[in-house]
Amino acid sequence: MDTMIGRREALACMALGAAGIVWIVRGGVPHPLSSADAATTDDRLHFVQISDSHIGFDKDPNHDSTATFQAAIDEIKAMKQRPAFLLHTGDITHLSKAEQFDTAVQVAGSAGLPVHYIPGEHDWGGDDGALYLDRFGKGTKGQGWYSFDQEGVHFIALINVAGFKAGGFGTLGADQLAWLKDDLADKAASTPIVVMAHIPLWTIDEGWGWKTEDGDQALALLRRFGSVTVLNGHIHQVMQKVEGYVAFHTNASTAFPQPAPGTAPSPGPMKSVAADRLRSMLGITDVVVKRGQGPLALTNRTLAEV
Amino acid sequence: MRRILFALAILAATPALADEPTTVTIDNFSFKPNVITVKRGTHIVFKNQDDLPHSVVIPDLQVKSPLMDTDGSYEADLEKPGEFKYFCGIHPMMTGKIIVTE
Repeated sequence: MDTMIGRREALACMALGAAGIVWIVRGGVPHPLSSADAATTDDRLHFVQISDSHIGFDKDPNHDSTATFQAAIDEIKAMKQRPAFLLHTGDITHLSKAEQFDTAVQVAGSAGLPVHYIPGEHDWGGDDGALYLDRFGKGTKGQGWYSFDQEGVHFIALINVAGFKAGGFGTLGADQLAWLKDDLADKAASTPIVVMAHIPLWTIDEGWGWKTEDGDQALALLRRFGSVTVLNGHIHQVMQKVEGYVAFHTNASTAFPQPAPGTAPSPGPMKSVAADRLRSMLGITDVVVKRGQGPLALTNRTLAEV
Repeated sequence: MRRILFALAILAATPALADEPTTVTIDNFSFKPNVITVKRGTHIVFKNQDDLPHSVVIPDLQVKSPLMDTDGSYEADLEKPGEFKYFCGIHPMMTGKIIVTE
């Protein structure tokens, strides 16, 4: 993956998230989003990414992850322009338990919007995805991957939390990559593509496992498209990077923040975050697709903005 | 006195007796001790003292634990001699090895 990025003409930009950062990507270059770019009735499509709700987590710094997930949903419900749907990029639950899935679905459902899910390792590792697939696997391929189209945008839901091996990283696997190749075969290069996967498809920190070992193969299949947006979760903080026509974005969690790479001995929860600061470190991402061949606008909103 | 100290040193270097539980602690996204030598028949306990859940997967023994939350544990009996690599089923960069002797 690193090799591929090095070859490409690219302007890379990584930004550690903070409250209300707004980005728009034009010609591969991220710009701050002006108020004139905010969601309007003329938008082609408006949706919201939520991630890492970890329902069942009840330790420092957040003893009620259901309440903060509900706060995220309430923020979405209060939006002036109602989104078309929600994307949940995994770690729906903390321990893959049936009651945790039930609570998550109930809270997310209170938005009154369709929700497209993918699993994180916390949803998969307890039972090899059995409960996850029982709830969300209908109509999917292989181990749960799928795609759909809306308003001319092609959405691809990848699973990179199955098939872990000792010492390894996130994995897509040969079967899923073959499916992806077929899925993209009849799509015009001008089709806007949105890919979601739980673990980042780009390498953020190998020591902490923040990497998909065959992510570069997926990105190679996407190279011919003029607009690709990759939405990930897993690392509980906002990071963005642009490579050519590919914009990478990781979302904040709605449960607890994790440290920036290299700033802590391990990627565990930031336990010492004060209660009055917690919601400023949790959040959602508002995504707007403008009409025509315009770029996607990504807005990170913290739960402190409710 | 010297003889007693020598005897203690031998004892400390001996693998765990088969009827004694042996504990591997999980903390800071790592298994401690990372490599452990035990006798066949040892009852091993993995204790999660970390802030996030972990699990234990030992492919060659077909062992796959459920997710262990903080303060959770998983136990297994080691009946087969050999060297067995294992890892956390949700954080595969976490690895360890158990050496089971006759």
